[in-house]
Amino acid sequence: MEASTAQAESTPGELFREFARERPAAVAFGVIALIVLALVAARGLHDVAQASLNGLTLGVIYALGAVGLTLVYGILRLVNFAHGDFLTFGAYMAYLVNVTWGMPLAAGIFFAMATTALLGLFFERTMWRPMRAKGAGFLQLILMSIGLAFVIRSAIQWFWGSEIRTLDVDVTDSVTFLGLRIGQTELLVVLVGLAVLVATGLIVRFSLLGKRMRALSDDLDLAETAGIDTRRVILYTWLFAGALAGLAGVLSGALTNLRPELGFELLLPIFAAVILGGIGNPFGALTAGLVLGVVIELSTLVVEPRWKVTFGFVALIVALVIRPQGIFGRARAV
Amino acid sequence: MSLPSAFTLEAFTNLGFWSGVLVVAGIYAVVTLGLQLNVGYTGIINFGQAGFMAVGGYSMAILVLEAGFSFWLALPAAVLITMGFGVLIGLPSLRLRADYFAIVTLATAEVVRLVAQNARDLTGGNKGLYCDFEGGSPVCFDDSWRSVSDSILGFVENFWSDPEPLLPLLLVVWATVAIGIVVLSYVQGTPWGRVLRAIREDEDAARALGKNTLLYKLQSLAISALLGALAGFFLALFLATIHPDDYEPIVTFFAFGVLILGGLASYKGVAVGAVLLWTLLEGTRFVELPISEEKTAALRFAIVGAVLIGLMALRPQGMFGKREEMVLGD
Amino acid sequence: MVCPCSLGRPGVKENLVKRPGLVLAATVTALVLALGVAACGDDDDDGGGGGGEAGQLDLTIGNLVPLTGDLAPYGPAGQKAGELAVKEIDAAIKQAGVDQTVELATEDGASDDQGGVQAARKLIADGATCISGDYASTATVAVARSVTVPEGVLLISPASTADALSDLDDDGLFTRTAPPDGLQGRALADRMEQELGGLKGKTINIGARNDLYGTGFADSLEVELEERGATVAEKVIYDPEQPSYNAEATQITSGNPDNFVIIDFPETFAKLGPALVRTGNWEASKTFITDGLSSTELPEEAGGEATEGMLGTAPGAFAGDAPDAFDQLYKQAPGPARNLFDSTTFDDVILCYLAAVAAGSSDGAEMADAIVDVTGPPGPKYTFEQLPQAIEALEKGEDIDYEGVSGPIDWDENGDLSRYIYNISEFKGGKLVKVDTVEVTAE
Repeated sequence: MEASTAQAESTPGELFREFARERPAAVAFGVIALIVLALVAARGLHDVAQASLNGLTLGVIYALGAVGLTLVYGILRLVNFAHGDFLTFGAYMAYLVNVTWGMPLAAGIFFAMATTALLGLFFERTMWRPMRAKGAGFLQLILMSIGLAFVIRSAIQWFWGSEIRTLDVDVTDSVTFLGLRIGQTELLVVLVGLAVLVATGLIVRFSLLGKRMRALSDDLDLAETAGIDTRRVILYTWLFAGALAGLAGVLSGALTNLRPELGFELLLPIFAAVILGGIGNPFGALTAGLVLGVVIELSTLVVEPRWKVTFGFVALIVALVIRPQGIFGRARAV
Repeated sequence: MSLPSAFTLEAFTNLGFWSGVLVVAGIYAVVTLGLQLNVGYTGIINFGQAGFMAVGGYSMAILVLEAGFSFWLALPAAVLITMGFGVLIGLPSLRLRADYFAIVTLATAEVVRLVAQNARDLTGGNKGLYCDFEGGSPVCFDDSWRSVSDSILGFVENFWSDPEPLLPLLLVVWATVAIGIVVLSYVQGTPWGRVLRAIREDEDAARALGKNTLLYKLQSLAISALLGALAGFFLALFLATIHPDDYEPIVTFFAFGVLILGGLASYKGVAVGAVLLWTLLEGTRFVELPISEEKTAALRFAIVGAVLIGLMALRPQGMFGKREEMVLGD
Repeated sequence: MVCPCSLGRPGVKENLVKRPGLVLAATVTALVLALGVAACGDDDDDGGGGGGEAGQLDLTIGNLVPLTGDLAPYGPAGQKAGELAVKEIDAAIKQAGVDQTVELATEDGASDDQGGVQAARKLIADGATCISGDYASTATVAVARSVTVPEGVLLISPASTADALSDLDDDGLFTRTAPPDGLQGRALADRMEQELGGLKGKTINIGARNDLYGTGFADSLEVELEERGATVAEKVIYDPEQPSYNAEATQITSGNPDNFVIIDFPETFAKLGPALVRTGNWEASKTFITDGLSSTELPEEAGGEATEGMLGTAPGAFAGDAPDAFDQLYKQAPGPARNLFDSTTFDDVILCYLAAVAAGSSDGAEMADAIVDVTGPPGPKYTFEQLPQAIEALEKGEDIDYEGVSGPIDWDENGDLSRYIYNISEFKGGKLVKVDTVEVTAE
């Protein structure tokens, strides 16, 4: 054995830090598990389970919004501030079908997803692609997306006004299982959302399109030289992101109500999920979105309910400070 | 008397109204000067200016109303608190990538606003802060300012009978803008300023030359926190009240609008951009369109968005910036 | 790593184009010149000097309404009400044959402080010396403190109910035709005492939405209840736009209190109500509400289980010809349907006018001095239908007592309504039913 320069014995602390670097997800889940156990000890299993169920409804919406946003970022390096308004757009499209035309909510959901997907496509063709061709900078694109957010929101306000509207959903019935209560609409949101998320996960992981999206996300130029039709993949990514955003908007609108600020209010938590999951990582965004929702609701066991959103943001800031690339992000040079 | 809302020459000489617009423009100019230092010169994308305004405004009001400070002591104390807050945020987050840093600053500003909204014992929550009515006579956070303002007006009355009541605030705000422009422009030529510039152009190179880039970035952030605090004071004095709703992210977005309208890396552009943006926004009150008010408001918003998009697409350097300032290097 | 916002080429020099300096100088000069010109040409815009000769009056009244923003649903009705009021005034002036001109200027306050302040500035720039507005209490504070009081303009709010407004230091320049929430809180607490056979030893939980209305009301109600011997065990403030209210509902129902009070609006309660039902620890029949939830559509929106048996206060209607006549006048005119603050806005505009006539001037401070006498006893009563007679009386120097369409409007020294009527309503069989009327007087 060659004699090396004197190495200090690895302390448990250093070993842990090494472990944390290698398996961040495991550590994160471990920490959360510990917190949950502490909460169970303090408040009882029922309360914790109920809060987690509540958190899933929130988390599903965050996850749907985050996956779309992160897919776009991964490929185009575009921080899309208009993404929130895609959610709002989807919600109002569903309103059109569900309330104005009186059709069932399911039809509204499909319509919302389809139209928002097309909206994403539209802006890709008319705005983002030409700007990329011009060699637009990061700041330019961000500011453009802010402008786009204003435009979309104003258009919605133009047509529907700023008064609050509701979708035609049942708010009063509820379901009980295992001693936990959940509203009928909330249950619908969780089931639909999870189903779509699982499907999305499968597509991204196993389908050819998914593989190509990940290739572009890794290295756009390399993917192009490898012969992938990047234009097409980019278009599909926007369709995907738009559809997911539209769905998130409808679900959120079903749970609360419709107003022009609907999407923008969700934008920051969605950003939080994107970053916590490692920007550009759809699985990370998915998981982080769900976890964020659950953590926010769990916080109500400790703080008063009106602090729960603040808590979510603080959690984001803390997590970023500890691990800048997010829980699931790869350790890029920061 | 002519029609109040027609698009006439008289509309433009409505002194009281335009003084208000100029004050708001000046407030945005102050806060955007800080943004310019951060974005245009240091290369840090700071989306938290509204948060600094809130910390400044609230600290000042809380010190006066709840800790019994004198207004004149509360001002510098609040500035220090805000700068300290800026450093506190900057320390862990300035080493993040630009896009992460942007989100963290945005999230922090929102946390500040939400704390203001929910820590009701400290900040009054959604009731806002303006006066403390307990005890014999009410104490208001702007009492001292009002006496000074009245004295100034009394002096001005020697030359101009019935002066515009906003005049003192208008003068102070724009004096701050002017001083800010002069000082910041001068500082850019100093070695310190050149390091900031180098950090923006190529941080690794700057670091390789032995510069502690984190320290410089912190200083830049602290200065924009200072300017944010001042803007927060001025807004509080203008509205005569402090409320969480006045510090929503839209304020930061409008500041960015001013920034790019004036052009990156141009301090003078900030002043012009601010006046232009707010003249546009408020001037539309004088235009009568055959559509409902709500649609007009939506239109106003849409125009701001369209201007942002248009500028970025066609003239990203704004009025006074240089095109290369906006282009990506990677 | 290279910052993504770095320049493409290294070594690009500082480039402050020389032109901007000139442009800036030119802009500043232009501004100074404009201000100077405006100052000189502006004499007729300050405070309105009408009222030189006996009976001659030139008055501009400002109508500050929220046409955009959160309170936008209420603005258009307020706008229409103001216009109707000026029509009545013009007709009365013609009939009374006096030499007076009254104009109305309307501006959008955008439901927030900055919008309200800018709108008020514009109204004053248009010559208004008396303004009806603003609606949101925080905006009214900003408008009063930063604009109308410094400018010596009379401000009458038709909608701001926050208690803190009573304490404003305003030289009498601020009053309101909307009752302070404290009055309603007292009416509610009194009724609760009556319904429960006494509040001593009772535990009450309060749930309120996290805005000025909810938090303000919750705070003052807590004081009222505890003064009567009850204990407020939980005061839960919740955000109005949550996807799930289960956590909030759990907290509101925690500790098994005797009764509940919910201070909210229908859009949020539509979600909170069912969540409360789901906890299994809550009954609507044990819950009291305030005017925010006294809406006829609530049982449909929140469901029967969440509403049946809830009892609470709502603004009542004073009996009389004036409210009915206004209702007819409003409905016959084209435009938006009736909404919450139309009658108070109507009264505000009429009051501005009457104050000017009584003061013989359109100067804000002089109107402020005259307005309390004009609205309250002593003096013969006049409604808006008897405006010509009221004008004659005032021209003769007599005192009058204006009876408004929103109530008798008798003010105390704070400019607050000294008495008000509330309906006590209950949700019975899916409908909102009035069960009683109470009158509350300020202490």
